[in-house]
Amino acid sequence: MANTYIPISKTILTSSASTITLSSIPQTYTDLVVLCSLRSTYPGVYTNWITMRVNNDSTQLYSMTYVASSAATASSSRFASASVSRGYPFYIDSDLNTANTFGNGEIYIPNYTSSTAKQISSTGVAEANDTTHEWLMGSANLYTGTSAVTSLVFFPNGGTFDIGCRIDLYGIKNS
Amino acid sequence: MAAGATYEPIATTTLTSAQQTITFSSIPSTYTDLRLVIVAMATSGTIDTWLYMNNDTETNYSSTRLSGEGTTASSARITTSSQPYDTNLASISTLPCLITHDIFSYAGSTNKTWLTTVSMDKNGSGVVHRYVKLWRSTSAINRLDYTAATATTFAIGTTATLYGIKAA
Repeated sequence: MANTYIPISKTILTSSASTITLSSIPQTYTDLVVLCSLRSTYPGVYTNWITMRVNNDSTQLYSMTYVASSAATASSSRFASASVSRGYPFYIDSDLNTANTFGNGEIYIPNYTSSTAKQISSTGVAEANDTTHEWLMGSANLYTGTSAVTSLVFFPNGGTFDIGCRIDLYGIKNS
Repeated sequence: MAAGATYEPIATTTLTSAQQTITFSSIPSTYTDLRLVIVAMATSGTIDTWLYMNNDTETNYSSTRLSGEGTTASSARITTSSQPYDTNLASISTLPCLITHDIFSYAGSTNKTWLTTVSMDKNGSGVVHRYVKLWRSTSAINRLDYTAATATTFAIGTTATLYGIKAA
């Protein structure tokens, strides 16, 4: 039986960058898994959203619901498509958080070649060894575009990705 | 994970008719862990869903969850339950729900713990659940039943795939 957790691409930044693009994604798998280790340079903040566009689509076809834990408090919120034009998987560490610390997470995209909406699941953490500026997040990002996913563009919600940021893309095949 | 590592499809199904239960039987005991990935839709209305181990419907399940419904977060625990609950599906074909189950050491002789994620955004509503669950049985798991509540069904197009994960 075939192994189906196949590495498609690996990106490691050797200089800061405003975006990381995974392009020419093959259409031969069933699902995609994106593993991220990211840090933002956005000044004056402890944590920052990693945001994502499917096929670099900047129209308002994204919405999300998340649950988060930070310090001693759990919270939940959502963005509806009328207010956003990108997905928001989870928080990553940023400028003010402990140096050399990266936020890590997984993004799972099922049925990415389908012509239906994509329900994208994410779980991520941004830890900082203090009492107020770390996050554990789970989110559902809905992308209602009907095209197959051929590229993914990631960018921090302000600033750039720091040196050492890494994104790995894997393909999952169900047969 | 390097190419050649083990993440193997055991079985997959795409519903061509509405069904109340999706069953994976005769699961081989040759892996270390199992992963079940479901992209589910309800035929109509809302449906409650459960994942049963070895068709056990006795009170051998418990769970603890963290949930977000867009405005409030909550945590809850269920003990000594006969219903290993996942979610209340209210999705339609244009808004599928993604559910994953990671079942650890499923072939061992200790009680079975597993992690469940439910991700269901519906553009202005929806939920996110993260569970840890326990099935108090020392039997190896050889069957999984993903079941909707009585008189409800999963819609055509619902997909479910069971993967086997093998440690070195």
